[in-house]
Amino acid sequence: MSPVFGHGRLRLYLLKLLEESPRHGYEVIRLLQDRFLGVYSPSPGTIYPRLARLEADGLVTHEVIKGKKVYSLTDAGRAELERRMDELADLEEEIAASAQQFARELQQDVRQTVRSLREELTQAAREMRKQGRTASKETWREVRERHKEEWRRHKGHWREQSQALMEEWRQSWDEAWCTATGTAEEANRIKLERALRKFADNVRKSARRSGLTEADLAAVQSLLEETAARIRTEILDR
Amino acid sequence: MSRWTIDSTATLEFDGVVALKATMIAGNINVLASDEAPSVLVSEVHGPPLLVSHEAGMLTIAHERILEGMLGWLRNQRARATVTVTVPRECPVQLNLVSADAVITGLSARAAIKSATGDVTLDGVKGQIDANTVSGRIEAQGVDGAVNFTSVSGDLTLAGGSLESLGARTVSGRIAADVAPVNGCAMTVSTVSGEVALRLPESTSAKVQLGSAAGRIDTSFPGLQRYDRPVATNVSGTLGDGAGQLVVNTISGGITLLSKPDDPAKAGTGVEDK
Repeated sequence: MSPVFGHGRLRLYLLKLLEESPRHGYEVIRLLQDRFLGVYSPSPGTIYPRLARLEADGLVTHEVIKGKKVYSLTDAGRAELERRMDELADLEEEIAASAQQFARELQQDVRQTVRSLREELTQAAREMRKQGRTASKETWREVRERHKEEWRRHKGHWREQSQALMEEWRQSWDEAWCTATGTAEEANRIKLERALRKFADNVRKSARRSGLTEADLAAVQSLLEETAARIRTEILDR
Repeated sequence: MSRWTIDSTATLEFDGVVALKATMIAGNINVLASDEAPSVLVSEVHGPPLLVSHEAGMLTIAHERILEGMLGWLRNQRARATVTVTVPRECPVQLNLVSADAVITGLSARAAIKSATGDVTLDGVKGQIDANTVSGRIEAQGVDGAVNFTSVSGDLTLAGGSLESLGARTVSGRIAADVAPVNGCAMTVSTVSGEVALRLPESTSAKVQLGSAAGRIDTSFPGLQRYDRPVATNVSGTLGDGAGQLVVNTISGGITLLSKPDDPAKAGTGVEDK
């Protein structure tokens, strides 16, 4: 119980509440809670016996309205209240002071909550950051590997491309040179070279794309030989 | 119109108060909501007396001669008071504080606070809260409503509560909030070097845009897209159905967006452990 109430002061305050108007027990409890802004909230077990005692002392009386006991002050009660008016004034001052006390406690309470919330959020953020750091390190490594791989592939591709370009350029140059300066036969010879090389390139490329077994190889070989023989016999050795 | 000049302890009671305006230099002011008759309890006054006036329901508390200008006070004696005011729940409150601290509790109307260095504690306040401080902190617990906060270096902390909207602008103040935004809540936070830490329920639905020039951004919400560039980091995406909005911008302050389980029993961890 709040230190505000001691030495029969609750009794006095109950008299005061009942002097304002007749009230039933529950109303008295609610009013006490209100006036003390939640600092002091009495239980029915505290209030009802006290009301009964006041009644036994002849200070209050009750009548039953709608099944509820409604207490009101008797003349003796009013006289008692009058006699202790000074004390009541003191009490009310203390109650007011208790409002201030209540505010101070509330302030402390909220400050405490706020502090713990800040700590909690900082802690949570720190943990998340730690997790995030290891995770990000891993992803970073992964990404770097992938980039490296890609770069390597690109490099190979570019080298191939540039070689092919150079080759082509040289051929065209040779061809042009021969056409300009050499005989028709020389030019044709170069064209033949180019056709052969193209053929070889084509075959190589298709061989790379599909798998090559021993039998395939043998077939290809015989085909090549046959073709070479046909070229020799049918065209060149006429 | 009634006026009181108070230079020591005093208690005043009023029949009806529809608005409260208080101007304090130093000390404390507590504003409590209650169903009883509105009252003013002055428990200490140093310096010039307090002037309390009650006119057409408007309750005004200020030091005497304060209207002569603030500069006079700088060379004058200190003006310090401790005041506790009880007002009805639906009473709008306006506080102007220099270095005085304030506690506001239980109100369900607009609270407008201007403070230089005074700290303001809010508990269970509903309705609109407008706070404007230089280095004063705003610490709130269980606030339901719209919060508007502007400060230079004052911190804003919101512990628990459900927000209808949040607007916070500060230079170096820190923003920390553990709240449940209502559906369609717009939250805008911008700081220069202040850290921003927000914790929202997992089920929050909002369009999220977090951006910082030099601060780091961390979020525990999955599904937000991160764009890291040398000069700025952005995290954006949509949570839930994207009904609300969450925009956080800082220059060098870090941003942390945490999620918490929706379970109401656990939702307020750190709030309920009084």
